[in-house]
Amino acid sequence: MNEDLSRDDVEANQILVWIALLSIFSGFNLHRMGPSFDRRSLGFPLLVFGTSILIILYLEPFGYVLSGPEKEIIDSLASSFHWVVLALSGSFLIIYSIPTYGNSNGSPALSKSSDSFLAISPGKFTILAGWISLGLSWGIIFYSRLPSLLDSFILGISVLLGILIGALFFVLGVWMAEKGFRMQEEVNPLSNSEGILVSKIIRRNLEGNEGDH
Amino acid sequence: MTIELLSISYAFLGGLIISCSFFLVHIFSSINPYHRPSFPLSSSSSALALSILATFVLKQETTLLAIREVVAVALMCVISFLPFIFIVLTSALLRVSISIGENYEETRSE
Repeated sequence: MNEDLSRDDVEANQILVWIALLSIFSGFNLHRMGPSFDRRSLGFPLLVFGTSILIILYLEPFGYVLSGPEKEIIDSLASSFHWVVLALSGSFLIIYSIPTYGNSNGSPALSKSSDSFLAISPGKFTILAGWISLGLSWGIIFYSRLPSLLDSFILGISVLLGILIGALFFVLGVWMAEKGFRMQEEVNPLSNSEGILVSKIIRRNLEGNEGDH
Repeated sequence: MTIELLSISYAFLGGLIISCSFFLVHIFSSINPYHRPSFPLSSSSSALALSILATFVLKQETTLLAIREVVAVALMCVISFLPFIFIVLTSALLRVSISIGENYEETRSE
């Protein structure tokens, strides 16, 4: 009886892992829809929901019960979590310091005003913090026992190839949809009065309201 | 070299299943009145069905466990591949940081 009960618990946990992954997928897609759609507001909560489930499943009471391929996924995610977070935060700090992409604090023009060469401006400080973070993440990568690099590379490329072919199928579907619904007939050329109207509208948009009426 | 052709096939099929599932979720999440999802839906569904069929043939079992295992393998392979992507990211950030430093020195000398 107890054995059956524990098996049911494990099944429920395993289903939760897939629900979490599905939530992350859906959340990402909904978030990318753009502000024109009200559904967009569901994106971020779904992402947080999925991530929270994965974190909860990794924690002690549930982590011990989880088994099977789902356990391997959670363990693999957890083993990379530290360095991925450090790498992402380091990258964001460095990008944030670049005038083109982030805050203008790191711009040389602003840095010029500092009196001392040793004075650390916010830009320099964030770049330094970013590189420390990246260095720590590289340290964790080298410290943790990674599987064979060649194996990881070959298997990773195989997965990426699979992902690419899946994307190609989708692109093929989109291309077929667009091709199938293309307008069959060419539009007739504009008449004289239509041509005058169109040129007037274009001129009005380019020159302002001066040429109007 | 301990890697087997079967492992590569599992990784490939897992990637294909993940990709097709992602695009199916994308189609359902982003559906709207101006959408024509029938073709992308059918192409992604057929690719998913083919990859699941290939998984069953390779695994020689027609259970949900076979699909779960293959997808789990693919996810783990993606995670173990991340350091290679991180190499590219680090080199790009290094280049950007060096160019910022050069700009800073030029501005100081002016």
